[in-house]
Amino acid sequence: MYRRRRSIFDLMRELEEEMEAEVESMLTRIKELELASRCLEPLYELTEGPEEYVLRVDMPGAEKDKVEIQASGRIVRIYAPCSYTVPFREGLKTCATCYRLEVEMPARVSLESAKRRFKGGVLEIRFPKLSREFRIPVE
Amino acid sequence: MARTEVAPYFFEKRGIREGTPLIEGLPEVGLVGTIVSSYLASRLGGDAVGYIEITDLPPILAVYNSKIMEPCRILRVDADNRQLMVLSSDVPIPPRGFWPVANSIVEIASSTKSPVICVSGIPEPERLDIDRPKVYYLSNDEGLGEMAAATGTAEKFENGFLTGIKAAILKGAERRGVKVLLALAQSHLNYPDPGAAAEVVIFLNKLLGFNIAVEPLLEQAEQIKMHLRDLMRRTTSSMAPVPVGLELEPPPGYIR
Repeated sequence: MYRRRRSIFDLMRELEEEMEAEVESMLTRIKELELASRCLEPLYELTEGPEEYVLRVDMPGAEKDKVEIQASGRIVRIYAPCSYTVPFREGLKTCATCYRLEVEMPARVSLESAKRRFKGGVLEIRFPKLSREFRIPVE
Repeated sequence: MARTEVAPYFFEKRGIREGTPLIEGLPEVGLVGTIVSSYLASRLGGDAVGYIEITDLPPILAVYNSKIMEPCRILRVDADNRQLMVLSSDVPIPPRGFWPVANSIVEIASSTKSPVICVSGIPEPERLDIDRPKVYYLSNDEGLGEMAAATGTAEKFENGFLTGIKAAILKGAERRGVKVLLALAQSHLNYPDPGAAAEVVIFLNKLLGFNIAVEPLLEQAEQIKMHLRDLMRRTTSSMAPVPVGLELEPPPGYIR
């Protein structure tokens, strides 16, 4: 009995399809969570600079003064009521009226030293890195 | 995926004048193309004249006011004695579909001797500090490049990388002798960017002789961002294998 060998292209294609299924499942989970909690998960990006982590969260319609931020260890939680009511889908009466996000940072962060600003619906938080750096003299 | 493969498409050529520009506004960086194409269609009106089948996706149809629509469709816009074709998509094109979809776009443009104007965003990490994003243009045709320069609203794209569908369109266009103009606005990478789209509309106004107001687009920016949140998330996930980060890097060039 011979078993037909799959080519490297078949294997790559399978891998791609698995990844796509994983992404689809993640997107469905986000949507289910939004429907259940009536809170939107905002789009965000996290970048790392030499001295800080920058978290940017897109929250159109959120009011600057009502944004709540909590940081505990590596977890940052953001909550903000939204001035618009977003219907999820036609026929689906559930609406979202707030944003909620939980982000795991690459390291422990503190809000005390963080700089915040809210511009064009985007919340930017700059967390300075807490870990100390040592200079090692090179001979 | 063969680089010459053409995605199945339907295109009703009748009524399209030779040389009518085809605006490609597919979902990419900051959804600039999506916002521009959708805004043009809503301000100028348009009729569907064709669609491109995204073969790498399961069957998907969009429904608007009980009307069944192909997700990746071409509209014909007739306004102010001018004609345009606008290509937009309600779903992101998966990277495997870049070549076939790009080849279809080039084939369609070739059939009507149309220039393709690709409108998109170019990721700008400091976008939050920029009130009026710049628009960069690049063309494979000298005349088209001069027209873009003459608008006075865009700068020439000098050095960098191009990735994604626009790169595939440019490559395919070279083979078939189709003129392509890229209009890329500095944009957020992962958020819908109506501000960047507004600058592209201003550029297109000057280039094509339209007078489309951008104020309504800017006034509705927040609602647009919310409305397009799901498509943006999907586009970001879909573009994960695309080296968009390359667009932030200078090319190595030649060592002298």
